[in-house]
Amino acid sequence: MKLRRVGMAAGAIAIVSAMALTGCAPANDSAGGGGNATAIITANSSEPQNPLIPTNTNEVGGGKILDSIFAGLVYYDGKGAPHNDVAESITTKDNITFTVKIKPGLKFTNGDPVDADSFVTAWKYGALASNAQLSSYFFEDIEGFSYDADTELTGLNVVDPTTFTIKLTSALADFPLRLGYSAFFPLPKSAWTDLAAFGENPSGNGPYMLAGKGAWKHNEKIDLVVNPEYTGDRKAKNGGLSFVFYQSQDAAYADLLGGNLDVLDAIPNSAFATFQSDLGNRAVNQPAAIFQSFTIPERLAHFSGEEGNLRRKALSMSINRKEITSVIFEGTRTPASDFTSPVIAGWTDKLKGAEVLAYNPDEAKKLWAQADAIAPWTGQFQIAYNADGGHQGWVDAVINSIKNTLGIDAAGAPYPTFKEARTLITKREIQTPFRTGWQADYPGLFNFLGPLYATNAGSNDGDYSNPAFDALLKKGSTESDLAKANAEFQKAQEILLQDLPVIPLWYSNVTGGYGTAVSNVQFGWNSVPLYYEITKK
Amino acid sequence: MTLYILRRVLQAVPVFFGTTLLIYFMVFVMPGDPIIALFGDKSPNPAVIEQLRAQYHLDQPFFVQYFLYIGGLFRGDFGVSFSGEAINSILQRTFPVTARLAVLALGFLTVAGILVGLVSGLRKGKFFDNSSLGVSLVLISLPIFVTAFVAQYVFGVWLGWSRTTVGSGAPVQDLILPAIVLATASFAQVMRLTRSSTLETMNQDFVRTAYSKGLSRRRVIPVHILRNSLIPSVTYLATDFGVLLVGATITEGIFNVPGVGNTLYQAIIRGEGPTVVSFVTVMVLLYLGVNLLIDLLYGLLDPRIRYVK
Amino acid sequence: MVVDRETELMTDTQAASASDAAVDITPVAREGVPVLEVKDLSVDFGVDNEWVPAAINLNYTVNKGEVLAIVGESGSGKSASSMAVLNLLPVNSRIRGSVKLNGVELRGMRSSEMRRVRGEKIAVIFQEPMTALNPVYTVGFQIVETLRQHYGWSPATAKTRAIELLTMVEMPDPPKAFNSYPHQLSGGQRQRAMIAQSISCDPDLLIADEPTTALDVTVQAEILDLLRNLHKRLDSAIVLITHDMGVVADLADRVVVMRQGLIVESGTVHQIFAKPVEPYTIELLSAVPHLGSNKERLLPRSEAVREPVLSLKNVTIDYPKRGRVPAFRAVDDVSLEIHPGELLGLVGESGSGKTTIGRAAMGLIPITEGELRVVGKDMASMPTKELRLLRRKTGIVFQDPASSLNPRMPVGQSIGEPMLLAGVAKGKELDKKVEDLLEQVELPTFFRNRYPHELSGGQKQRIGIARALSLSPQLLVADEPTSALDVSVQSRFLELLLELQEQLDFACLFISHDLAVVDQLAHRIAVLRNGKLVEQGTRDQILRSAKDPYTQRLIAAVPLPDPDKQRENREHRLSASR
Repeated sequence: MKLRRVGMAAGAIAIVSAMALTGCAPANDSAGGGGNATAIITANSSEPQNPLIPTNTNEVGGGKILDSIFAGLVYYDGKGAPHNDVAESITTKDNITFTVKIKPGLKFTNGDPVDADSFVTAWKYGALASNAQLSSYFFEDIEGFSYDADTELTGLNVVDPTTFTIKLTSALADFPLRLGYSAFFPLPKSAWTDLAAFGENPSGNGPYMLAGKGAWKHNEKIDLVVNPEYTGDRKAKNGGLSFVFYQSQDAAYADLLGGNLDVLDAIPNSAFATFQSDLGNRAVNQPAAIFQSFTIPERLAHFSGEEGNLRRKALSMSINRKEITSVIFEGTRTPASDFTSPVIAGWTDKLKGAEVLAYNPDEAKKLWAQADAIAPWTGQFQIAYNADGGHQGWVDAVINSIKNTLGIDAAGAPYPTFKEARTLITKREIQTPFRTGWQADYPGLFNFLGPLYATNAGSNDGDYSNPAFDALLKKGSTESDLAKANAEFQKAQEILLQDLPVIPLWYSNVTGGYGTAVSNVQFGWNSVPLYYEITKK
Repeated sequence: MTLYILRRVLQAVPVFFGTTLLIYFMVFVMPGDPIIALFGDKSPNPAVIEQLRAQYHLDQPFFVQYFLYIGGLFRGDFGVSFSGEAINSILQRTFPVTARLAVLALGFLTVAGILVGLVSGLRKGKFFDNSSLGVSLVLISLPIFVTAFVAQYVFGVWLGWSRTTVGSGAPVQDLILPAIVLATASFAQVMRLTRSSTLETMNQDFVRTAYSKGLSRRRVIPVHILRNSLIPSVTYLATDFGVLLVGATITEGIFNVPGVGNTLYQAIIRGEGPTVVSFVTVMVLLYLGVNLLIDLLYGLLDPRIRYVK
Repeated sequence: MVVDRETELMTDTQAASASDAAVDITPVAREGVPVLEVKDLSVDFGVDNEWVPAAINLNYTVNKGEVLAIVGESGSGKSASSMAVLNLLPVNSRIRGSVKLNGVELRGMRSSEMRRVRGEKIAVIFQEPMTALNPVYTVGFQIVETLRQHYGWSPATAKTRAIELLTMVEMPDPPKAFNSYPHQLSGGQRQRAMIAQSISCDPDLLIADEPTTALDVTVQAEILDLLRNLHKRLDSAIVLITHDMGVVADLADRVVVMRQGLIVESGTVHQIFAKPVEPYTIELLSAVPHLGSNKERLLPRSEAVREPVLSLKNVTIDYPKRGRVPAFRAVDDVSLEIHPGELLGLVGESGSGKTTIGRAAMGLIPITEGELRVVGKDMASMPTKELRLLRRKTGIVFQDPASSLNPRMPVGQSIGEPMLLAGVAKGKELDKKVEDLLEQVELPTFFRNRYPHELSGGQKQRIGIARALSLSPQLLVADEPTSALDVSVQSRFLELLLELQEQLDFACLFISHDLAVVDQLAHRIAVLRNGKLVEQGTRDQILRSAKDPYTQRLIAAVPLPDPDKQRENREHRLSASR
């Protein structure tokens, strides 16, 4: 999962948007083909919050760079389907032990070979408890992993320079799918002499590489050029990338309009209403692998057992998702019809029980009244959120929708910072329902379900537990066939639709745009443009 | 004079300790755990959290944390930010940029505010005076981010006279527009102060004396009127330096200036004690320095308040 | 010493060529032609789109070497008309008529030519040198500026000349004064610097606008002596603007009396003083307090047994060290007493500590040593609450009536406020008392609804008294109550104070720098110098047979409003000091 930076809370101003509307000529559609192979693409990003070490990067700013300068065993195409990158083959018989064969003769930009050791050493480092790597949880399914003590990842074994095996603690059919995530990237041998220095000036094996020492100008930008050694599918169609670090999305958007930026992958809230007319067909607005919801922990009064289930359903049916996504978000969100995302293979809006996600005030009132018959409702219904993330608008809209439908007292409960809200949630000290969101780490349905709703799972903030659900997940995980696995996951989702541990709200869209000079701009499943495909005149 | 400067510098010592302690404490008691927030919406494993807390001394009691930090300071080490970068190098990277922006803004503010104020005062009630008062009224009532956005769209997107945001290395030509925007926030005050003190000075006896000596307007205005009118404006500029630093946070965000403002803002949001305290401390010291400078300048402008040797 | 302008100009060719063009027009002094000839000069000020006349059809001439005094009270147009000569009036003014300097018309002159006249041909000495000199430049800078403006000299030449000028005006340590800022000089030194600046180009005409009004009496005498000496040496004509008949008698050859913009009388100084014709001139002369012309005031009831209202025993008052300002002893070992119905004149020059004593008597400043009793009670050991009660038994009248009244309060309210706060009266009763007080100070009762700015200076000061007397105090402190008033207003005010005291029998501490005023009022006089009591005694003991040399000097320095006596007095004084 990658964090989006909490943008500067500079207010959205209608006047500015109105000016932008008239300030930009409509795009001409003459682009396409015939790009300049040496042209540098400028794209927005944010200052990486950590040194560029794959296992210690969990936010978008660093992630974009790592994805460009490293190549993992697999990569994801625009649809989220995995293809071999460094791997020649990944095979398994039991979904527990995987054998990885690496393409021979690959090299890092510093000349070190890309071999089995370069993966195994990097993963072992990332998993070691005392290294406290932010992405260490990616290795938790590998044999020998421990959060509490420094233990060897015994599940990793180097067979020969181009072959190694991975042994998991339990069967996971979608494990190869995860291997495209940056935490699983290899590191060259020379990195280990001074990892901090390496993080400042990394040598990778991806389609791009840093444009020399000091290419990373902190807080300003990082310059990448094409790596001539790279032989994989993601061959760059341009001359390089320049990621400009923006402090606010507004500034980046202004630069896109001003012609200083080629590709923008995040439209500021203030331009939601106007960016499609500002940019014409250069505007991008498509669903992303981001699921948003609010969580109602079972421990809260009135929300457990039969009464709780009725109330959860009543709340879900009292929210007019369609109206809120079009009015508050200007169509940059898509109403949710399950717990995953439309960009993930296997997604469907035809789940049994999905009608609980449709606006149905009469049914909502009825269910709420039934719950009141079990135990009368008292107090105020609240949704907690962090005030520094631009959530107030929709929380208020959701609250209003609930208030008007159910006729109960309801309010948003803002916490000043993400930090504060998140701490209360993690420590289970929060006493109200709260906003939750999930961006997938890898394009699989399981990633939206396992970490969030499995009993005792890491991000199960509402402490949901249902053995039937757990069993279905486990069954799906052992199915080698993706379609069969997904069928099990969908059944699991149908249980969630019954239990509603969280109230699904909508899928975030990726909103972006690009300048007149570039073409072939395509956004990947993880909302990040496929930079290597972009061509520039 | 040297003694006076020395004393002022010594006065900065308790201010330094007071500020660092206070700010460190404020960051300390800020609700929320910065480590948990590092993981975003994902709930990290408690063991990982403990590991990281120990790494940043967050598991220690307040005073231990504080003294560890102060101890580092005396070795010239401001500590390390969550991103693993030495705070020293963050300071070295960001302060020159913001200083350039603030000095540029202060320059625009001084020149424009004083010039317009002077001319307005000299032409009280005339067209120039009325229109500049009107403009200043508009500027004073606009929040800085409105001015910034409008300027960015008009000069950056529409007219293309300036880059929409500040380019790499924050070159001076890119900083001109943000600096002007930053200056507009205080322009009205400086202009009005200068205007009213010009009006006051114009009616002073010594101005009449100057004319009675046969001096021309061209000499009387800069030599006799302006210098006496500057004193209140200069005082204001000193206090305004702090406002400029604060305003820089917003302006830097909008124009994407890689300066102090955004780094500090992010550090506060993330609860990075050492980074916040280091930045605030340097800002306070800078503020004290500028005030000392202005006090000395003050004595230069007005011999009546010059400090005895 | 007269500077030879021609030769000076030759030394600097640049300046000479620059001024060539102007030479023809520059009015040069010629025999038989008056230095200044003013004909039908009228000045109006535009107020609310109406022309209000300040001076009407003035006609006078000043000849070479002559001193013409223009006398009048405030608002008579004497200053406005003189500033009109140099076209130095504010923009909202209108000047009509003719002004000729050495026979050359100044009206309608190009501004560049006018600038050459200003400072070089006609120079001005202003009243208050503290404000008339630019506080942020050294004295030397300002004199050099004038010299370089007119002669285009090098800085070094100008500096040499400036120090010469400072020497000429008898400035102590001229090189040091050259580098001093105005605030570093005393009042008299500042006025000397001002004079040095104005004579720097050896002007044909010197306009001295109340040149000694802001100065202490002994300093005033020195400055007047200096002016007379310079006048003799430079042989320039002088227009002396003043309200002080003593100064007129001391310096003037001829006198012009102005009233409400008109010249009411003119003549030689002897004519005016000896045989004034116009009633206004007579009134003006009689209103001037003459030192030694008053009968001694007797205490109404000489019951010596009555307890003093105010008594100071060996009182010392220090202003504590504040920041970098060192501690300062303002009053040093002073003892005095005032009995009911008695008026003690406390006399001294600025900085002598007289105001400090007045404030201490009001309980506004703590005393450092000694004993201060008001109505028999020791102020020092008194708790704040009692002090507040005691303050009701004292009243104060301030120097500047304008700034001591709240401008946003009708004066009736200002008078009634102390009574209201003290709970003496309210509502109708209060209104009645306010009206009574207004009647006592001889103001119509409808004045209570007026605001301070609607009243004249004298009227405002009467309100000040009415307020001070509102709680029927046993002690009235009057701190220079007349120094902001015109002579004729002043004399009426003093009469009122006398009447009130006889009527109400309060003790009065009357603080003044003006010996003539004190002469008129005081039963007894105490003379202060640098915080120390020099002498005290009955009025006649002090003013008629002073024992202390300082008191003697003080008395001798007062200019007498009689040209002959003043000359005698002056010669006596000068010979004594030599």
